[in-house]
Amino acid sequence: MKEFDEKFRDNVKEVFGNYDAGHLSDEGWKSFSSRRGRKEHMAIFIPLWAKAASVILLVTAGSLITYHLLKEPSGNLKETAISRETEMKPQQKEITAKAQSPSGAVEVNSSPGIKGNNLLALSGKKHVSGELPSEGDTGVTVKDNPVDGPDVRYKEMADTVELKEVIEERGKDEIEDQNRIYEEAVKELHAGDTLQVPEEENQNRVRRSSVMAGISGMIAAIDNEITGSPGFSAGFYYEYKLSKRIAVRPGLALAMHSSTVEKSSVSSAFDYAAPLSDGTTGVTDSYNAHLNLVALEMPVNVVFRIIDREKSSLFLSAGASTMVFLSQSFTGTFINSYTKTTYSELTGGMTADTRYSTTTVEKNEGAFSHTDLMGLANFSAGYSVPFGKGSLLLEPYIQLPLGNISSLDLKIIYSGMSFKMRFGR
Amino acid sequence: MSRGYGDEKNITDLEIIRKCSEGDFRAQEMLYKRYFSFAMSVCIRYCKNKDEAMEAVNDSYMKVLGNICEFDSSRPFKAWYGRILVNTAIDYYRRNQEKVSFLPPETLPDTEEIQPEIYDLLSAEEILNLFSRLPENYKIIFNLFEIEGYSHEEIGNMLGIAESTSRSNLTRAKKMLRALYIKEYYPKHKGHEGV
Repeated sequence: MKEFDEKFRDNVKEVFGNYDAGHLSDEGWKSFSSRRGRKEHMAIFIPLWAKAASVILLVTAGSLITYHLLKEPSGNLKETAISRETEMKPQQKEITAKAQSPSGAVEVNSSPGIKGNNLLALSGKKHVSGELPSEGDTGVTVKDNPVDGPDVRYKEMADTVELKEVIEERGKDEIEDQNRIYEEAVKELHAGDTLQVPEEENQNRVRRSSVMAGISGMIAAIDNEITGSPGFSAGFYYEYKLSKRIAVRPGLALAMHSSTVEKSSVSSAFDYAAPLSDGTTGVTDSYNAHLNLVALEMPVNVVFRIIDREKSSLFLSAGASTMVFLSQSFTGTFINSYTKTTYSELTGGMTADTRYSTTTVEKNEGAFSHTDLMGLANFSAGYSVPFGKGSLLLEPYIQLPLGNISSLDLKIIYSGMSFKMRFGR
Repeated sequence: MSRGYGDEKNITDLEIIRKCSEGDFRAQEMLYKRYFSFAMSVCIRYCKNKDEAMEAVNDSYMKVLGNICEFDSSRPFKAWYGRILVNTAIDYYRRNQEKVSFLPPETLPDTEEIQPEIYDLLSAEEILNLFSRLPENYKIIFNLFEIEGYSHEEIGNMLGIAESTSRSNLTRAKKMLRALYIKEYYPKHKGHEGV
């Protein structure tokens, strides 16, 4: 007889080994789904390649903003100078000198160029002795009068104090003085403006460089077989003019491509049939594979403008792209045929025994697992047309492999159309 | 070549797990339901009631999906899932440890010398009733040692107690179970034999 403890343990094991809670599974799944939904809302899963792409986009956006900020001061410099001039003119009109008689009846309006002595001379005929008075003593004050010009005031003064001729003569001198002082002030202002000289260099630099954002659609050919699904890439490019017709254009783009590949009769990109040591030869008879690639593409191209008009241009470009793979996923089903040829002593002939086997292959590579330095050669021809404040570049292109690319060592050819938007000039 | 879900029963665990790892929602549901009874059978022995057990199952399954890439396909899924279920249940125990109100001491017969006979197998509800009257730590240790097959050393590490504590608690748990069985079911089952 088993002890109670053992029997009880067996009882528990048996009962819970066959425990049926199937009737609660729907309720459980519903509860799980809603709960997971909540958790997923709280923590959105972001794959590594998406994080890397976000960083790149942020950096590029930052560069774009910096570019615009650099561009802005040089473009606005003229406007700043003009606005300063306009500020100066009213100022010289507004500053008035008021010469008062001891009784306070005479008011002389003048420009800021009129010195104390002039004022005294002006008013001296009637009121003032040869001694240089202080402002308080003579009633000479400076006041702003934005309405009246100096000529009008001189005439008013002349009517009042009957010194018309003298004043008119003096007025002419003062206008000349005014102009001279204004010119000096403008010169002084510009002399203090340290941005003036670098501005020209800056403008030249800005004219030489431009930033572009682009998207492109592409198709791929793996091992000369055109794949089923199109790809997509988006990125930012910086163009720097080396000369009037030649420019260099580096860039940074995120490229995604999903391909379904089937074995052609001519060649095979993938071969997962292993020859055996007993003389059996194995070849991949057919396959159906799916390849997903996400890569960071860093192209460096040289652009040559064939036709360079004011608003449009036709150009050719060539260069190479470095590919940093962020995600590589490959799944494929391979049907391999294994043939063993044997010599039959009975018949005296050769007999071939062929057998087929199906192999499923699955490969996944993580972010930054593989880099192809200058793995693709780029060739394109494009046309640039004005578009909004910038210009639109339509650029059909082809990328040829300079070696085997990706972790799967494939020869992939990409071809497609790129649309780029150039910001500014 | 993708197989449909028409022949659910014929799809192997590995195939479902592979689809789960690819984020296939349907496969995740299939795996959840396929192992739901097993998961409940584990969690309900550690938890207070069915609701809490279901919560533990869902938490465990969340862990399964989150770590499915780490699953070693050369080993059975059930064993791996079982460990996750037990660990999750222990986490629940730890979390609720402060809230545990000790049961009022029951008047239990002295069972030192009595070895009651189990005439009929106890049902799941009857067993759960007995477990529910054990202190939490006794229940956990009994299940870990007797049912799951962990050693006292492992239990000590899992619960953060000394190995000797685990041993003594198990002895007490068994004693209490005997006493509770005698009190609750022994006369009935004995009587049943008489019928």
